[in-house]
Amino acid sequence: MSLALLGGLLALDATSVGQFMVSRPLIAGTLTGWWLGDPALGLEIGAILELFHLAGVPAGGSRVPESGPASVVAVSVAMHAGGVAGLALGLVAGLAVSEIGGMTVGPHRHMVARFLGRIEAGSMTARKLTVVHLSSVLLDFVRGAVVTVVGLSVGGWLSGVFASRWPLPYETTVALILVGACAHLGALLRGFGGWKSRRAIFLVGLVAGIVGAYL
Amino acid sequence: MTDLEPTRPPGWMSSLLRQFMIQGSWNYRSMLGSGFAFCMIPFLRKRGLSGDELDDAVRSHMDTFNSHPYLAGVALGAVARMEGSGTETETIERFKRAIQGSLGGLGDLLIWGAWRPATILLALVLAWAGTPPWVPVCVFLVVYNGGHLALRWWGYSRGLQYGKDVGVQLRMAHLSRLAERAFSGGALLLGILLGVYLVSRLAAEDAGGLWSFAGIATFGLGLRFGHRALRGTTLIVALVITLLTALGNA
Repeated sequence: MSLALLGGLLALDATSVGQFMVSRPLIAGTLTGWWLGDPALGLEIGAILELFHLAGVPAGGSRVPESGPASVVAVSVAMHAGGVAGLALGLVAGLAVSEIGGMTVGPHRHMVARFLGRIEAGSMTARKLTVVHLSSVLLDFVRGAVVTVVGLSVGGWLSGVFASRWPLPYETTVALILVGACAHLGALLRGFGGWKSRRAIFLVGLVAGIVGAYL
Repeated sequence: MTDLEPTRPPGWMSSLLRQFMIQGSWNYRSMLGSGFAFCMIPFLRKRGLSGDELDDAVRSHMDTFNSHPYLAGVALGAVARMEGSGTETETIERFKRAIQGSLGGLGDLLIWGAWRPATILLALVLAWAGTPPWVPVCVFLVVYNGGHLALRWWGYSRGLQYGKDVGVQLRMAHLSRLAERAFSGGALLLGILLGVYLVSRLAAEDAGGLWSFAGIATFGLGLRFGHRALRGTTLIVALVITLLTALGNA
């Protein structure tokens, strides 16, 4: 129940209320981990999921994966599965729920458009507009909570069934995930202006990162 | 700028607070239009409008409007000032239509394209450095929202102060130059993060060289194809994990 509320609140932060970016996977994952008693695992899952969301830009109301409820589900599934399997299954659950969450945003926006159409066709008043606006926020919260509950139910069940089957050790699992995430980092550099514009500063960072990792 | 209108007209604070939920009723019909009207209500009420007059005034703001949410305050403040000084409704509508594209484009470039990913990269680097979990979380929330709230406040106060002339202020602020700086900072942090991953995470595995090579290859794929490569690679990672799990022994 508390995780459903958290998922609903994080869904609100993404668009409807505030946009303080508490709903980013890195933050939402750590918060969920803290809520469930393991903030370090929450940070790890959140950081991995963040890499897969980093290059997304919600420009002009376009549909993008929704990361808030997905992060709650990812961390919860990871804790439920435990160990290395948790890392892999948590990521898959998070990616799946973020896609499903993103798909539910469209119907919500169409529904709000219909409500507004009705009051504009009839007698539109300031009071009616306020009611529709606040109802839309409430509906968005419920949508996020429902996505979280469904994700937790299905993800929890699947992780219980499949967690013991995960065959790879920790290092290989992380390597596999990071190879996929590197494509998103490449797309992000493109978004920052591309290789030609940013190669000097990027290479300075790359050398610093390599030296830092060796130290 | 005229001296007749105060730069903080009655209702400005209530409208500012409402701006944090301006996207509450974002929809495919009027986009931010209904949210814009919702944020205008405090100004209209404080001007003494009520009943049918208030409803008519609110209805006049329900047209299609879109903008980056953090910069919508520029238009809101400017429209509040224009209404206070008795500007005609048609002029206000033309102003909203004219400015929305700039507010959307600049906000997407500066915030979604540059500031947000750069500050997240900073938090990811801190997370890799082994800081306690609360450190990257707090650093991101404070740094990101420092910029976020400053931009909201700047835009809204400029709108209230300059009214229909706020476009000149937008141009003079050189927000795209700020975005360029954030791009550069982001590219530096991105390099650090990739270097760390290539050396400490991918090369830590037994077949380290191969994983690092694969990482560089997928990075190049993302760099070459941009967003077109993202859904594909995400799907492949998810499918590989699912297949490995399904084929693994219980």
